[in-house]
Amino acid sequence: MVEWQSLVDGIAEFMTLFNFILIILGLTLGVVLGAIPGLTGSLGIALMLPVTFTMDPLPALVFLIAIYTGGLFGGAITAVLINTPGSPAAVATTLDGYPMTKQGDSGRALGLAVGSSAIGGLIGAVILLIIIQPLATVALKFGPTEMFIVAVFGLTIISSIQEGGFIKSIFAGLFGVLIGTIGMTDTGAMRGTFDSVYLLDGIPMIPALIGLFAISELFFLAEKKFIAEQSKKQKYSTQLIKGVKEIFTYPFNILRSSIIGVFVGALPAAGSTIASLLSYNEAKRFSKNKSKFGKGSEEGVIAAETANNSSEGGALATMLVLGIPGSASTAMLLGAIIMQGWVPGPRLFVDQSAVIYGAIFSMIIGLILLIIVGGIVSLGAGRIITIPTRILIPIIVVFALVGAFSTRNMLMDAFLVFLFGVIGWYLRRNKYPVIAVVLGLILGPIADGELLKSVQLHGSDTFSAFFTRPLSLILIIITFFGVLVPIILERLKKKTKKNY
Amino acid sequence: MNKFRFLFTQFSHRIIMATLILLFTLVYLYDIGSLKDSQDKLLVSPVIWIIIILYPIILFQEWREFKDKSYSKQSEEDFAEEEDSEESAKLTKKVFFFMVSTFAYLILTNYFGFLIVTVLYLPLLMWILGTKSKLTLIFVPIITTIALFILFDIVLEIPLPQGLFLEGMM
Repeated sequence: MVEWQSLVDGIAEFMTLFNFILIILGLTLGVVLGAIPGLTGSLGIALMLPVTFTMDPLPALVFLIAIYTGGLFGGAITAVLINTPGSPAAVATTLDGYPMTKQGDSGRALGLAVGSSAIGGLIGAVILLIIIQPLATVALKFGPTEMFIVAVFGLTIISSIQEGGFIKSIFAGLFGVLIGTIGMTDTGAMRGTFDSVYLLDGIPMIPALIGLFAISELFFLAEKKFIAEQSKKQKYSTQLIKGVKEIFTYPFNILRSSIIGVFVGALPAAGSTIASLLSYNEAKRFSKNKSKFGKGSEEGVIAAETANNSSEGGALATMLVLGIPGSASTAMLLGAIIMQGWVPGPRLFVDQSAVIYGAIFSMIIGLILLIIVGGIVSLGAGRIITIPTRILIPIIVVFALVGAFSTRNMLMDAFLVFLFGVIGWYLRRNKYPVIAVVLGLILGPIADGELLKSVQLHGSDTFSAFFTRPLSLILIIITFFGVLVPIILERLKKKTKKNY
Repeated sequence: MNKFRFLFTQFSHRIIMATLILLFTLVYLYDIGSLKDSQDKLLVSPVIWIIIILYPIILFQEWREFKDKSYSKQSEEDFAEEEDSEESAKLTKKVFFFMVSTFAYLILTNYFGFLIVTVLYLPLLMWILGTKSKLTLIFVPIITTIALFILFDIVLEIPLPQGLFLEGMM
């Protein structure tokens, strides 16, 4: 529970103009980097880590956490405007954000994204403040069997994709799983690499995502004059504010997505991408307007953005209390803590509680300011879609290729973007849902790795371990009912309609 | 386009797509055949076999859809609407040259570096996509290339490809 004295001390230490300036700078850097395909907030943290060497611990954490916060939202801007998730965490945002742009509603979609990012992040931060220790402890009880079921739960989203039909979705999803499992296994065996050294680490995620989403879309847009006609009824800023206000009409969606985000974020190696995908899926399962999902549903954008930002709270809980980084960003934040001469782990919360509470409080302030900073950057970025495609497409292509190159300084990654662009274009042309391939690509390797670990851990008892471990059993039941209940409810609804 | 020809082309492409996925799966199956430890195939093996089982089902599904649509009494208007919606997915000359020029851009970047090739690729692609204004064709590529160079090479300190022929000269 909250140590009130430490919290008050932390807030008092935080309240300086310098810290507020650092938050604004960090948020701006994070949002801009997050919005560039291929670059993420993690890069911003890595770049600014040396700058924080000479800072006191609290301002250093305030600055880096602000970059992290901004980066999580930034990915949504290009996801909404040009169907390009700035980071993997924004994959689910493209599903409904981009269709809204195509309908001339990009301003509202960005408003929904920035508003739900801020609210989701705020709920995550408050939960972090209240239940940081128990949350981190429960998260640590998640073994490979539980993580395998979480990945399978995420894969069940494929069954609800409407584009192309059920069989084609499964076919495409499994194709994604196969691509995702290329590379060296945890036992050191080569799989699907055909002796290529480049493929030892598997297919890199960012080039694959940029290719499948962005480049394939650009091939489709080549014959169009503009991405979409902008709504002329309202000013862009009015649309954006309308979007921010609209999120409050979906309180249950926000609450559910935040809880999913915080919890999944707390699981080491799960992170914001899985959080947003799971949350999107749950929003769809329990929505009254299921058919609108994938075609520009406000609920879809809210669920995805709320969860990926609230996951920050969960990820920080595991990192601060247990010293376990669940992602590249939290690993670098941990690096910043070590650089201050502190030892990560449970003692950190006892020895430096005021600074830690101050940093968590700065996150809350940062999320409130995100609405302003994110809104301003979105307003500027929103102009993108007014540029004719004959000029815009070449610029985006070069940006995407250079962004992919920059992740590992390998030109091969840029080639992969192109290759996946062509694959994505042909898949979509033939009514195979690209999102199913992406889900397989993201969740396949996680499921594969965790299943292997489960077998190594439990041996011949692996199967029974899934049903005897309490958390695992609970997750199986949730997965089972998560798939079945919406189907039953849908059938009942149809039956009732028929009767009346 | 003739309705039957349109539907047959659509059907053929869908079969090609499914077959390409199947071929990839079979090659993967062949590749993992040499793995001795069954633990390395725990998830992959069932996935491969499910794909192989689903393939004929997809073929049947596509055939049935093709047959149903071919013999359905779809009005000319509905058919024209469907044909229009498929239009943007076609491999038109524009899309084809877009793909070829991008592939060539990547190959040439490897030899001549980012700066030179990007300054040439951008106006070429803009022209392919329909830009006629000479000012746009000159200034937008130069500004974009410089902006990218400043952002990546100078601000983010991520060196952009210099090209095998020009490495060390810049």
